[in-house]
Amino acid sequence: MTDSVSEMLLDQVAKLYAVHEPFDDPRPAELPAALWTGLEDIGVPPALRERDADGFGLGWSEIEPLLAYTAGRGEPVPIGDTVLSQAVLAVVGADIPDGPIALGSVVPNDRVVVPWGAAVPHVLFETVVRGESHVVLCATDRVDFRPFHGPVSEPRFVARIEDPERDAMICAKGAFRLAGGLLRAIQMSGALRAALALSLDYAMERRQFGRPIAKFQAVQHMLAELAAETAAASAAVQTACQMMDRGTAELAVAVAKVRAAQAATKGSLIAHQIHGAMGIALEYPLHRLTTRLWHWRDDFGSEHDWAAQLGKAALQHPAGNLWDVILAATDKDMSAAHG
Amino acid sequence: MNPVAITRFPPLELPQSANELRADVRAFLASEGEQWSDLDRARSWVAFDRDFSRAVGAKGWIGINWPAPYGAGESALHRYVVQEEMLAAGAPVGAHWIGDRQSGPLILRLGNDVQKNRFLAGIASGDISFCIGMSEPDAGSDLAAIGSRAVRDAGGWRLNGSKIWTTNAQLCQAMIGLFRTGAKAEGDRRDGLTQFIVELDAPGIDVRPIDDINGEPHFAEIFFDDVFVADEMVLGTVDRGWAQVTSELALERSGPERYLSAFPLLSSFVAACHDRGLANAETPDRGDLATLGRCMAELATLRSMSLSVAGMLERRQDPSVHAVLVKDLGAAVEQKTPDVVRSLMSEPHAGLLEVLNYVTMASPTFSIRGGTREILRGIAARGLEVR
Repeated sequence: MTDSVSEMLLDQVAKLYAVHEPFDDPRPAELPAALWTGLEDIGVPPALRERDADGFGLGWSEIEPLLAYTAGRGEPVPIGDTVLSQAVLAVVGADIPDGPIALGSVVPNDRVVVPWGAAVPHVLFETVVRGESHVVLCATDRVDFRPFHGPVSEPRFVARIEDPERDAMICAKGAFRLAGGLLRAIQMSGALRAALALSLDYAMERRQFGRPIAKFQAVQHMLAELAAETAAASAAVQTACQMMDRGTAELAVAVAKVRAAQAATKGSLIAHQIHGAMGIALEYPLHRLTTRLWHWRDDFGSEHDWAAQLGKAALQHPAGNLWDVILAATDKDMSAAHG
Repeated sequence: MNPVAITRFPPLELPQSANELRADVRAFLASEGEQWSDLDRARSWVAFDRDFSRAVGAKGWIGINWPAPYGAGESALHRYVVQEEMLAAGAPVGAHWIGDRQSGPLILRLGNDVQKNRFLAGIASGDISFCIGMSEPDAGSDLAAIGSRAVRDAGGWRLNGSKIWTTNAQLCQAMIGLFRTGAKAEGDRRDGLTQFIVELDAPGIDVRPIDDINGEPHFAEIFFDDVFVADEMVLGTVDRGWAQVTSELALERSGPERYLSAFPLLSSFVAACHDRGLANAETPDRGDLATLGRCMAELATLRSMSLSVAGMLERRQDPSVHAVLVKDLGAAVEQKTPDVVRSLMSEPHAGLLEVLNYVTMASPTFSIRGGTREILRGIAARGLEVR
């Protein structure tokens, strides 16, 4: 697939968002239907599916700008979740339902936390059935959801997993976690870039002591740090996408997930500090980015788990050579040598 | 341009030939480095070893990307691979580092034939070492405040003043120094500055090494007392030195040495765990593994960012703002590394403790040399269009 298809998609999506009335309900209970239909008309949901599975066959590097962009817009549509869900379902050969699909996270005691709950028709999550890794696609109209305290702009619900075997499909071990971890890392990099843009605008507009706060050196240095964190998340993500497209991405995705999460922690607080009290007001859009950033850090394996996985790779390297592991996480040729 | 664009670092994939070169460099380092202690490795690019630099020069790896007849005409990415392997191994590259990284390229780009003929072959063979004459006692971050002067004399110039904090100046043969040639009071202070190539054995030069807090003379102060420099040793254009220095700093701020200064400490720690069988321990502490892993995520990301900047340089784009982001993040992980190792070291290990002590005492320099953290963030803020 050429770059032009992914560029065309991104261009059309940007135009769609430009005409779309920003969703200014700070407590969305349902998805903005017009925006969702627009995304479907452009053909975004199947973009990551192979061409013989009715998709565009885009690689991760090609779809990364689009997923980062939509994350940065902060609208209440689970487009990233749906793109990944469709690709996963296509790989396991399942029927793909119409409409948005949310990605759920399994928590202890057979419970699953789901963004949007009954506002989306389906949820996809991974669980273990009789010792084997399965993905479960579940229609949300037969699930008893309870509200779960989470981001207001992307409400979360919790439900008991009932009879998972009925809808379970075998999934390659680790594949779902790897792809989901990369998706969340991409989304974090996009949300960080948007938080930087918002912070720059705010710092130039907001005046105190007779001048824009952006003219204070202390604020300039915060903006520089936010830019550096954003850049780091973005660079780690782009490298991981490239490695994912080459099939040697375990370490690279771990790096992207951990580095983006670190940037999310530091960057969110900097963005809020620059915004002062305005940033925590629900009517101001910063929370759409930062509250999601905080949650995405630990989706598909916590930041801590992914970091421990990296540390383990270093200690288990056959020659105890840390540099080899760094190269294997960032360089396709060296990754092959390592594997 | 959208200011947020400075956060984009397009990934760069090394050509296969660069990774083939990597194997040669590794084999060379394995044999050269048999006797290096962990402490030797931690000194890395401030360690000055003439014999080692000559051996690197004999391989054709200094100035590897310079055009013939001065170098092998390889790409800047081949040079990047040589550099990062040398640093990751903690090789004593100090005698050729500055010449290879910035003095040689500056002479290639701006120098006259006399300068090229006199210095480039010697830099590439590992015989001639250069140092950087920028900082002065009263001009550090505010480089345009320099007061050392060059005044016209028959056939050349007379230099007076001093330079300070110059890495390994007492061991170098030559310096590219920035001197005031125009009037300081009139107009922009950045006008009227000129770069000169100064051979450090010239009459009137006094080089005094300065011990640092590691107890070692890593830098020096250089006094100029009516030192004569011939006209042919003016580098580039008289009174236009500021722009030349600015472009030089982009070379100085983006390389792998900007995030790998403390790497030999962390890699020695991992190797020590491996040697003592800790890697096979049944239940390595999950928190410790994550602490190590976080540091690795930062290092791996910095490698991607630093490579991306190498790609921009190769494509002749201006990466000066990208380079300061790399250096700022790189210094942070370098300064964090001693603390990470302190927290991971379950029992004292004599060899490793020495390295830890060395890197701890070197660590304040990581966010000072090559541009302080505060100067870098100011440049980033300008890139973000808020300054």
